[in-house]
Amino acid sequence: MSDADSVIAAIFAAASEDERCSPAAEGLRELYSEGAWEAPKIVEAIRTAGDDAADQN
Amino acid sequence: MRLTRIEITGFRGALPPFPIELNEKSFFIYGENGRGKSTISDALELWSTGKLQTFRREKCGLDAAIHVDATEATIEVLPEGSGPLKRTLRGSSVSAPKRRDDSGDPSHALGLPLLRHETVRDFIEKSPGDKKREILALVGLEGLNDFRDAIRTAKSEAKRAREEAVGATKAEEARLSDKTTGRATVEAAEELRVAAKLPNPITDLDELRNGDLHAASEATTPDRPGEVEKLTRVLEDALKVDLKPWNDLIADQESVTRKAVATLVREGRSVLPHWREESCPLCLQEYPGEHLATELEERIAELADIEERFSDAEAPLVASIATWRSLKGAIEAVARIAPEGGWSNSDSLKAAQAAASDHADSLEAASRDLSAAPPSPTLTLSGELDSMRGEASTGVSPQQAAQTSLALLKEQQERVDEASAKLAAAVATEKSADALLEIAERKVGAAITEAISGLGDLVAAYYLKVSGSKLYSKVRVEYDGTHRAGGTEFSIRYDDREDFSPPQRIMSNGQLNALALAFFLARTKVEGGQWRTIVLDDVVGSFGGIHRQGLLGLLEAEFSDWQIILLTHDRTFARHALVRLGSGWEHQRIDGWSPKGGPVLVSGNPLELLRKRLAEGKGPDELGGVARQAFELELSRPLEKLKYSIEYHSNGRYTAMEYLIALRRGLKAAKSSIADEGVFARLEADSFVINLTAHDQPILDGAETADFDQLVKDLAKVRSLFKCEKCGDPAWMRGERAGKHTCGCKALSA
Repeated sequence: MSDADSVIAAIFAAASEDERCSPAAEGLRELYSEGAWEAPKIVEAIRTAGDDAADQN
Repeated sequence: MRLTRIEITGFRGALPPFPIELNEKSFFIYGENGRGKSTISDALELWSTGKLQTFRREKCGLDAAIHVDATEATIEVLPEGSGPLKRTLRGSSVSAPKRRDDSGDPSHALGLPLLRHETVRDFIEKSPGDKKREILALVGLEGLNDFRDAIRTAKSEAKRAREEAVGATKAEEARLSDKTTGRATVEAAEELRVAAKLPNPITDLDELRNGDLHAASEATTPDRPGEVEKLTRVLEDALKVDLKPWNDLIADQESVTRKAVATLVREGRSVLPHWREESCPLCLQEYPGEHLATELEERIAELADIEERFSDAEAPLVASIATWRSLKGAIEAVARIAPEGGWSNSDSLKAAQAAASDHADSLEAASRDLSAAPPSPTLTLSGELDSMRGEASTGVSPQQAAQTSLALLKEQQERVDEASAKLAAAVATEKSADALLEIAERKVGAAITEAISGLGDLVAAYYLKVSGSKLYSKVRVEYDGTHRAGGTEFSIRYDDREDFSPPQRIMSNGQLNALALAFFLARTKVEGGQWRTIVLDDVVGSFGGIHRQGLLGLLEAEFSDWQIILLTHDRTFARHALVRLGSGWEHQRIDGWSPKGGPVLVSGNPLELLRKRLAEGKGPDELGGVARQAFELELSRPLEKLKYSIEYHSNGRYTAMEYLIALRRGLKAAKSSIADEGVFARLEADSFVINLTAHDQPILDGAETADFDQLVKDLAKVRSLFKCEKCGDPAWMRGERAGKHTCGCKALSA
């Protein structure tokens, strides 16, 4: 049986492979590891990753 | 870990210390309603969790759990292998579990499995999503709940942000549309540019966005206040010119004549160079040209004074002409830079402009014709200059208005662009959050599916044991990830034909309870944890006889190494348990309760207890309940052990007389030699006595202690009838010891 941490690690791995959320995957992983896994911060991490990607383009 | 001892003080129905010696054994506790049975389960719940779900559901403060005559409640529990841990309830505040010396590990109290009827049903009635949460906690994946919930909330927030961005963009677009009055933005911008007299045509939105409207606007903005001030000054100048010297001189006819002569003489001199004749041009007499020239110079000298006087007087007139021409020009200039909507005194301006022009012409004519200068015209403009100054400072010209509108249009387009950019970002964020949630749901679903696959099999096995029905099969706990929220639900197959989910679609109330109970027992078994104790409080409320027997069978088969504390107010279930459950169980009953004394817990076989109470001199009011229990147990035991049939009652509850009738019918059908024993006839009368005394409002005058003495003798007789006279084994042991029994007891011949 999987434990919660291994399931969450698998979620982040899948997120980094999915083009819809891959720009944010690393930031989200850091957010979780910092114990700051809260909805507003998740939204901010995704939005910031999107802005960065847009700037690079 | 099992429970060794409980002591409840000042809590609910227990005022003085109410100790229960459990000694790690399983306990079956029977008590009528209102005898303090729930005091025990509530005390264990509060001790383990610090809460009382029933109180919370009813929005009742914990202080209400303190006995009305106590100031605080204490619950001290001695878990196996640990020191006693006590919790104290003061007001609505409950302390952590601790030892008397304030030491101890509070975690030893946590997680005591305790099931109530309402808890069991609550689970069945939960939504699939809530069931999933419980199951996640069960299989040790509770961390996923918070993880997934945060993503789900983030997704909702992203969606809300996107919806707000859509609203904001639409609002900005609507404002833009207001500014273009229904035309395309570029078209409206170009029209405004033309009106504002700005260079560089606007042919697309980028030219609007990038155009330097601010600089152009400054360059062409008229100095309206300045122009009005200039007009004011010119008007003042025009009106203050003094033409009196001119008019006085004109009034002197001789001076005028002399001036006219002087003019002629001067003009004559001007034509003299062209004169070639030697005669006078006027009289045609011989007059040489040089003489004429000299004479003209002489005349000019004579007339110089009058010319000087006219020159002095004409200077203000000439200046006045210029001033009035300037006034006309100043009025034209001010009119040209009128504010949006025009000057409020535009008519006066037009009139003043015409008057200034006419007056200037008149002054010119006066100068030319040597006539009197007309008086200055009356202009209402003089009284309107203050208001014009006000308008000049606030109003804008059509050109400037166009410039301003164009600038506002540009700003609004920028707001639309900004709102659109935010919307695009919000859409992208929501899309990412959506994708993240999809991934999380998929992974969590797979983990749950893996985790519950084994649990489902155990639930199915337990349900089959409790229900004893093969009509419902293939009980499964399934994760449904087809919808976004995901969820966990039971599925059950009916008659081996069709699967139903949720089971409410097809199962009865009792069956649902059995299913939920099977789930909780399976969960407790799988979960493990520190406890080997389960508290079951009135969980068989909707169970019929089969389900009750099934539950007892399940507990015997699957939880023989567990400590079960089974509480019930159902005497039929208590009787079933007494017959069925083996030597590992303590059977106790809460025999009485008083406000000051609390519950009275007694143990032992009801018949022995009845005998003891009779010896203690108890009266009928204290004997009825235990007498009924003894009666039912002593008759139902052979009935069930010998598998004699009894008329079916769906609730499994029978009266003493029904047991007696069924037993006698079974013995007669088996042609037993004891069927006609006289004791059975006496027991009919005994059952009557029980009915008089054992109900809620007993007819105490109808029974005497002697009746209970007789009942004890009769029940002892029944017990002896079913025992081998030689070996003392019960009659129903014959089958189990086939081949070894040689005794000839009467029961064996049945």
